[in-house]
Amino acid sequence: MSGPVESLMQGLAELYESGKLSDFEISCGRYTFNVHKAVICAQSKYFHVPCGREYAEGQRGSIKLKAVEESDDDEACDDPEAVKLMVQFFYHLEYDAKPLELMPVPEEPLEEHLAEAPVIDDSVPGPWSIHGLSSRKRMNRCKRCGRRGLEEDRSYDGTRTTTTTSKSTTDECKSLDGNVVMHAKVFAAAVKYQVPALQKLATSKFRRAAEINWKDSSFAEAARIAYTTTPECVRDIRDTVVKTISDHPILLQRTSIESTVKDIAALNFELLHKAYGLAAMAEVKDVDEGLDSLEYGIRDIL
Amino acid sequence: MAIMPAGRMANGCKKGLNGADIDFDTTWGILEKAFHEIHTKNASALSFEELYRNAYKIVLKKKGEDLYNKVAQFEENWLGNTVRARIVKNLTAPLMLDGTGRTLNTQTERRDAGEKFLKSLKGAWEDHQVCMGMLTDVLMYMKDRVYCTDHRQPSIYAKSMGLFRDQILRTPVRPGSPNLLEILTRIILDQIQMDRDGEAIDQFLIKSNVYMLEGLYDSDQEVEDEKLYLRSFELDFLHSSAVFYREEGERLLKESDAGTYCRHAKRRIDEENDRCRSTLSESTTPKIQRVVEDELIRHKMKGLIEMETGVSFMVENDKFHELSLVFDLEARVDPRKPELTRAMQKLITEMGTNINNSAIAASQAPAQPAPADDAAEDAQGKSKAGSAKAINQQTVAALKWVEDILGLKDRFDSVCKASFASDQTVSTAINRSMADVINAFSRGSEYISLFIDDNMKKGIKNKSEAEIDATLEKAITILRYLSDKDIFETYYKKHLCKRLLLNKSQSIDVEKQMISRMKIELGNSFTLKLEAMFKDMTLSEELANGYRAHVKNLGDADPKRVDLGINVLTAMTWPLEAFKGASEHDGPESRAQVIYPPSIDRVRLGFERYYSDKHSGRKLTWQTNMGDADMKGTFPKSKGGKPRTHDINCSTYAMLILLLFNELPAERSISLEEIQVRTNIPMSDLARNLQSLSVAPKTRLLLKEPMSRDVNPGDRFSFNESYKSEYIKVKVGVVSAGNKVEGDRERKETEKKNNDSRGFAIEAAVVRIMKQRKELPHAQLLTETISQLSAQFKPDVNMIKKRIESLIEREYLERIEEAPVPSYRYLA
Repeated sequence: MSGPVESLMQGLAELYESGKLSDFEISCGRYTFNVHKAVICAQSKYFHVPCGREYAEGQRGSIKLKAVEESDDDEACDDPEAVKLMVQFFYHLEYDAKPLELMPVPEEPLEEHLAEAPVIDDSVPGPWSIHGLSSRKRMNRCKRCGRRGLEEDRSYDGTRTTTTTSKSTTDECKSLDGNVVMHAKVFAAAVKYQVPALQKLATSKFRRAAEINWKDSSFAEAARIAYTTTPECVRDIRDTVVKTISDHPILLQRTSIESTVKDIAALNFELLHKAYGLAAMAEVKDVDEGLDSLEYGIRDIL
Repeated sequence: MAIMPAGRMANGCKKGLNGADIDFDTTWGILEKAFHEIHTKNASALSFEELYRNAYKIVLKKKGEDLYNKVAQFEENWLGNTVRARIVKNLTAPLMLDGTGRTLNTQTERRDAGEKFLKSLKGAWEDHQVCMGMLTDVLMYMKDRVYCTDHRQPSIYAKSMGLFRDQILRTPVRPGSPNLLEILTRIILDQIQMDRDGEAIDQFLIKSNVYMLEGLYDSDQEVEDEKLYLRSFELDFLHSSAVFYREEGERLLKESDAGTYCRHAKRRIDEENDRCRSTLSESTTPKIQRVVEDELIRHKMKGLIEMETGVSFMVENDKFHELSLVFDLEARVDPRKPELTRAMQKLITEMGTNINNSAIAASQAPAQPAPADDAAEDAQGKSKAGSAKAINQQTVAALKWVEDILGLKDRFDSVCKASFASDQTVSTAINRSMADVINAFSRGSEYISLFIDDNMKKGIKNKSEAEIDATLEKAITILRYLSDKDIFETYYKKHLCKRLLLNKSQSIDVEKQMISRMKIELGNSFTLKLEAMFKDMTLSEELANGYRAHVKNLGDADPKRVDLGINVLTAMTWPLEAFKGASEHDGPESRAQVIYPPSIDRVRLGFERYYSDKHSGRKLTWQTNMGDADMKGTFPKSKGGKPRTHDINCSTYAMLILLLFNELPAERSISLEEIQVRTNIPMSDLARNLQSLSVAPKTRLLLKEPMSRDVNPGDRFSFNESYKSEYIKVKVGVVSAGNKVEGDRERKETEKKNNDSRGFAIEAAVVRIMKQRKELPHAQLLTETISQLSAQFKPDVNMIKKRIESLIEREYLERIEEAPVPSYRYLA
């Protein structure tokens, strides 16, 4: 484990932990990170500018990213947790989302027939089907798995099963990657701060989390985040939301999903689109601008 | 997503996004204020995070298009009002042109004002780029991903560049007057003109403005070859440069000399290259170079070469460096260098024709004493008759011609080497012209052979091996150009024959060297007969020695016996007619047998017996006219009555004549006719030999009566008992024994003979070809015949036709009647 890549990764991790040679500061909400311009600029085009000299941030050597909790916040502000994970990604090329329980998501009991439906179990294969049932108890069970999800992602290359079993016995287990909300937020941050690698990672994490936790009440929140905090043309995560809902139409019976879908015109149009078996959204646009008028017509009816 | 009409947008947003418009206005307000700060260079107080976040928010709210339009509007206002006003302010009076397109102000004023304007434009452009860079950072999302790519609009950066072009450069200063782009172009061209005139200008300042023109495009599509620089400035620049250089070139051709012109043109080209690098754009380099080359070289080359101080002046005065300048200039525009090549060819033809003409003039000039300083003049010539002198004059002309031709070639070779970098094209052309010159001279073959002859006899005396080598090489050099090699062969054989038989050659080794050089140069068949001549010489020596041994073995040790030296010559190989004087041409008496005195006849018959023992069936014909003899002569009254003996070397004929007097009392004289009858020597030979014996003062062994220069019928001769000479050995020269230029009649004969032999060669070639091909069209037969014979001579087409006719008559060939093109068939 001492190849050039590993040594570099280790060195970066050490720099991050110690804050040594830090030449820039990113703060957001309660967090402050001492970072290195070279590291962050290598991955984010956005940071080239504040790290330069033109603006006040450059003069000060620090940037304060406006956090959601602050006064007159809006969709363009950041969740400090997501910013934290983004900085973590800069140095580890990986991030650790907190488990769902820690999120302040209001309890919303599932209707019984959903839990009983065997069809749903079949549709979600592998060990994840158990977690996928998404009851409080099962989430707790998951907790024991500890960092399993993270380890698993680090070893994409086919060692997945062995790592899974060994970690599940040693570590406190919890499916961290099941946190759809946090993945959606990290995705939004990656888009806003132009970190393409993170955008990709968050998309795949989100997709897998949605496969596991689509039943969780947090999915509605995640869907809302996806549709309100990223520009319209960034499709990756929106497609996952639409696919998940249309794969599990039962979700539409849920109040949280219902209100989200009703609020977001684009989402209900895309669902309609999907329901009629039309091509994916991104392609439609390129094919024919004429369809736009159709789009507006439908949107107005809805 | 698609552009959403504003009304519908408001409609669709009724529910969740209430007050979005108000929100947009507020947010834009923040951005606009910040943009203003950026444009006034106060960005350092701004928070990038805030600007980006606000712009991002607008994008999230799907108001990207509104934002784009607002920004564009903002830029348009800023450029159109603030920036433009600032630049126009710098457009001071000296830059505003009057009706004729020229300003009335001094150059310095114009330059200063121009620089001020360029500076302000440069500043505006650079500021604009910086500001737009910063705005692009803020609007990164709008530009990069969401708005522009989706809606096929130019990026805001490109859009603002277009605005700069339209608002700053393309708007007239005031209605009806030129726009800033035109003014800018004019100012830059004006400054470049100052630079060309040697004034210092701020090159970097112009370069900055060129950068601007290179960064702007004709349309918002930003097509690569539609840069403003290419579309507007460069065209004007090239055009005005063409005009300038055309005028300058014409003026220089009139005012200066060719060398200066070349140097100037070269300097101008370098200057323009430098200018492109330092002041304009490197992409212009090939184009302006082309313009300068066109105007200063391509269109002027002919004029330049034909100037009074042009190429012929340079060649005549050995101006190698300037010639190389001309060469470099033309090589630049055309690798074939047509003008220079043509000029060189013309010069060679001119100079060569002069040489040819003066050779003809010299050979035809009336006989007059040869110039004393002429080294080639034969020392004997002075003592000879006038006609001999005339012939000598021709020899001199021949030698001079060869030297002049060689000089001409050397001159152009050295020009080619020193000035044209031994360029292939030019040297080929020079060689071709040399060949033309040499072949245009009808006596070339003869003169070259004479040149070799003279060197073999005298020239190589006391010369080192290297010098001899060089001389031989010279001869070969000219020979290479010669196309009628068969004629040369005829002459060479004739000259060589005389050298060998009369022992005139300085060195047989050198002769052989010459032959082997010719062998390399002209091929085996060419030297075959020449080598046979050498072989005959060697064999004859062996034969003579063998005979001498044979005589000794007979035991007949007669001390009075005449010793015989003999050369047995193969009849076909040796051009024996060379020894016949022009006057005895084909006379009836030439066939008659000379009468030998018994002592001589004995030896002659002895050898004939010896020879026919060795080689049966061969017939020996005695060429008495070519022999010579050594005799001892006793003159009783020489030196105050004391008898004295001399060793006399003379021709065989002279010997026969002298032997007659052995039988006569000293006082007796005999007449010319009597001598003729008793010796049967052809009359012309007899007259010439008698002339040598009785007229030439140093060898006056006979007395003639009456004493006159010429031998006439009725003259009587007697033994000169009181002959005296300071030398023991006396050589009786025979007039016309040497190799001279031919007389007219001789030449005609040579030509006739040559044409005959050519005829045979052509027939042989035609038959050879037809035997192989069986059937062949006429044209192809001609081509093949010419190419087969080209090593020997250049056949005349008419002659070939005649030969073909003759072959048809003799039924070697027949015409193919049914063939579409005239063709022949070989008849076996």
